[in-house]
Amino acid sequence: MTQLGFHYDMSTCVGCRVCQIACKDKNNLKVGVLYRQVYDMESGVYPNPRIDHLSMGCNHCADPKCVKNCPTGALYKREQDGIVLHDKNKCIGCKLCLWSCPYGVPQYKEDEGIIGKCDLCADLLAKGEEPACVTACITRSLHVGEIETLRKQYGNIADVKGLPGSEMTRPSLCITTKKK
Amino acid sequence: MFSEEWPLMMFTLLSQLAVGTYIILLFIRFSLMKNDVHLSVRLTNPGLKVVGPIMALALVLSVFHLGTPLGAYRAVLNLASSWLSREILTAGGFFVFWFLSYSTFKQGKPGVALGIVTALLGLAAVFSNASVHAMSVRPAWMDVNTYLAFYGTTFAMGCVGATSLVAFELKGSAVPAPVGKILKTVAIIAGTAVVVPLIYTPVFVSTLNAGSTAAHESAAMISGSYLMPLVIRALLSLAGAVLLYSVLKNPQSILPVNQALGALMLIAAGEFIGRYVFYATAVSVFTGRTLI
Repeated sequence: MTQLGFHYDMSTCVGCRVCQIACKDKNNLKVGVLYRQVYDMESGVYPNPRIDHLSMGCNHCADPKCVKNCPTGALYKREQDGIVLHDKNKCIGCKLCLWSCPYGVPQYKEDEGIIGKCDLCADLLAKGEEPACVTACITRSLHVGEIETLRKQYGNIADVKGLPGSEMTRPSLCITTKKK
Repeated sequence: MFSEEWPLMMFTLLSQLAVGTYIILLFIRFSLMKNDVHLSVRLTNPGLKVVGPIMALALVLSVFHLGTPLGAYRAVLNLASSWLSREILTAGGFFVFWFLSYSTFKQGKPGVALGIVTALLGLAAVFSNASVHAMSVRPAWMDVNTYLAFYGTTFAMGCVGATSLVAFELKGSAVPAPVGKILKTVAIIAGTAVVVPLIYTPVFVSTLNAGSTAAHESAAMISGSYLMPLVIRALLSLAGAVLLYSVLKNPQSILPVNQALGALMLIAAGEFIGRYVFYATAVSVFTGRTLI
């Protein structure tokens, strides 16, 4: 099975949040709902403080807890490309996926009574385009593709400080980290 | 932040009260049956009748936790891997089997097999309920503490619930010797159910302290801002268990309803606070920040 995923380059990301905004615009999300979110992680102490940005959408994990725990089967992994999709007609808004995702990705939409999440812009991919976040990134810090190809090109790091261990759900994500 | 979890929290407490009360009443019923069938029926039938409405209320409350309550029936579609699906199936099954077993009891039949199946379904519902939390990504829930807390609540509340219901039936009359002996055992079960989770709390906190950032945050909350509620919870539960034991230690005396209800109130208040802290102190593994 092909598994699509993201490469994220922490070393070039400037934390501008255009990926977050492009995603919000593409999915027409209301205030407070973000399918992709940029986190600013501060660490260190004077005279060596540092800030790292982390842009996080769904990692379409190889072993997704959200899919396993979803009681209705509304969350499922698409056979042909491994994308974790959400069937809003099956979702009952139990919010168990919010408790299950180690990356805080599924978002509860109060007005609809269901959750929503990043679908890797599957509709754009079907048209041969890239996800909105990837296209919008001003520093080209996000890439989409077959995860094994991305790992060969960019390395196989998915564990960085601040993120939960990748052994939990095996995310389809590789990260280029910042030099110390 | 916590407001949307109230229906869920009340579902867990009420369903555990219902399951525990059913199991303890069944224990009293089956233990007494050898000596006096009529007495066993008279003392437990009215209490067993109350279990169903409590469970029904719990199930109704669980629906209010959903964003789309009308889709609640779809919650059993992923039995293969979802503990939430299994929880709904076993909790619903407990309610259905309560109805079947109570109908059998009402007809004067022993209903031993039905009673046991119902009790097992109840225990399975509590296990599934705990597993829903244990399979999350919140370290404070991914621990044996969750199972101890949920089964502790089930038996502590079940013992005081069942004793109160039996006390209602005995009101004004002396406790028959075999009943007194059984109720003393019930008091010991209640004490154990209260004490074991409390004893485990320091072990739990030290386990969290040795864990990830999120686990640390939970430990800091438990031993910091939520310490006082936890101390109050421990005192209330222990006071309830001691009161129950003092009421039941002398088997021949009259069983005071007020004191049995007092023990129920104390333990219920303790469990309520304990469950609140359980939800309030759970921090997800991804906090979105790195601590300095």
